[in-house]
Amino acid sequence: MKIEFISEIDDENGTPVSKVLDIDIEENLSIEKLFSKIHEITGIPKFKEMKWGDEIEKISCTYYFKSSFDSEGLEMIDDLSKQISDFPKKGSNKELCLYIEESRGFVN
Amino acid sequence: MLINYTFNKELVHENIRKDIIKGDKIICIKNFPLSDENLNSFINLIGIPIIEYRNNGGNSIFDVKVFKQNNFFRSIANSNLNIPLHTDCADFKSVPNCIGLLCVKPALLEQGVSFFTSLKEILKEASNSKLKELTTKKWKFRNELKPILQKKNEQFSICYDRITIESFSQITDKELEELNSFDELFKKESFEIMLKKGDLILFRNDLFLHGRSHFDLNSERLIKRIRFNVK
Ligand SMILES: [Fe+2]
Repeated sequence: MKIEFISEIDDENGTPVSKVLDIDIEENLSIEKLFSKIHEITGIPKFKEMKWGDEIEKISCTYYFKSSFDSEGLEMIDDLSKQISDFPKKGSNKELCLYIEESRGFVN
Repeated sequence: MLINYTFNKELVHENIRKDIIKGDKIICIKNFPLSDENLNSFINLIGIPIIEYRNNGGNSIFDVKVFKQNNFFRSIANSNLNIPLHTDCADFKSVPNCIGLLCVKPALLEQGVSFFTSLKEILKEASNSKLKELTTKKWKFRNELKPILQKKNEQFSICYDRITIESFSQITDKELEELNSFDELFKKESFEIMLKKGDLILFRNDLFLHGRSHFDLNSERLIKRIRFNVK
């Protein structure tokens, strides 16, 4: 299936930069499986490490899908076990549109 | 340091707005209703909330609670870790000047205690050389390069978050020492507030640093957070 994948969102004006990924996956699988494939393809790590006192803490990426055709329509995914087919296809060419936010978890 | 109110029909939001503009104290409203709707509409009376993707429904409120994804905490705010004194949104070009925290469920046994330091106390306590360091050296807050203390119209404001500084740039041993000395100075002037269920605290993000202590992973602590600019 074709995925419109947002690789970054411009800080200045909030404009998403996206590319289309072609991923071989069944739509009855979980969105988590799809994100795993995207992590593999793009090389984006699933977590970032941070020294916290004497420990190393790992902070996960945050996952979003586009829920409407207007540009403000990104919604956070709380439940990664949901099926891929449960998510609306609201990309530029009606693909499923997804975004992985890598590092904002470190910002309070 | 604390002004207490109770949420009822007599509560005058204009008084609260004035207290926030004055900025020298933390405001606590007791018995505040525990819903996003109430919190959002109340804050709209005194300020303009910041809308973010990561908030509930992409709106103005974020649930500060333990949440894991891929077995890791989704963010620092979704962890049970001790969070050192900081400014929220330190990486924003325009940092919101107010924060509201509504306690829906406190942690158990005196854990998850909120702590604060006022900029006023920091300015009183800091040596001249420390003040110079704080006002001149610029630090990288993700994409924003700025000093920790800034003066505008004769009024100082503070922006500090060492986790952001350390996460997005390589810092030298000397800089690490500097950050440790800032932490020490800020901590020395800090005071604690133990939030109870129904307490809404409002404070200036540009005039206070805030943090919270560690709590048990299974405590179900829930704080609703809203950031806004006072009107
Ligand atoms: Fe914070």
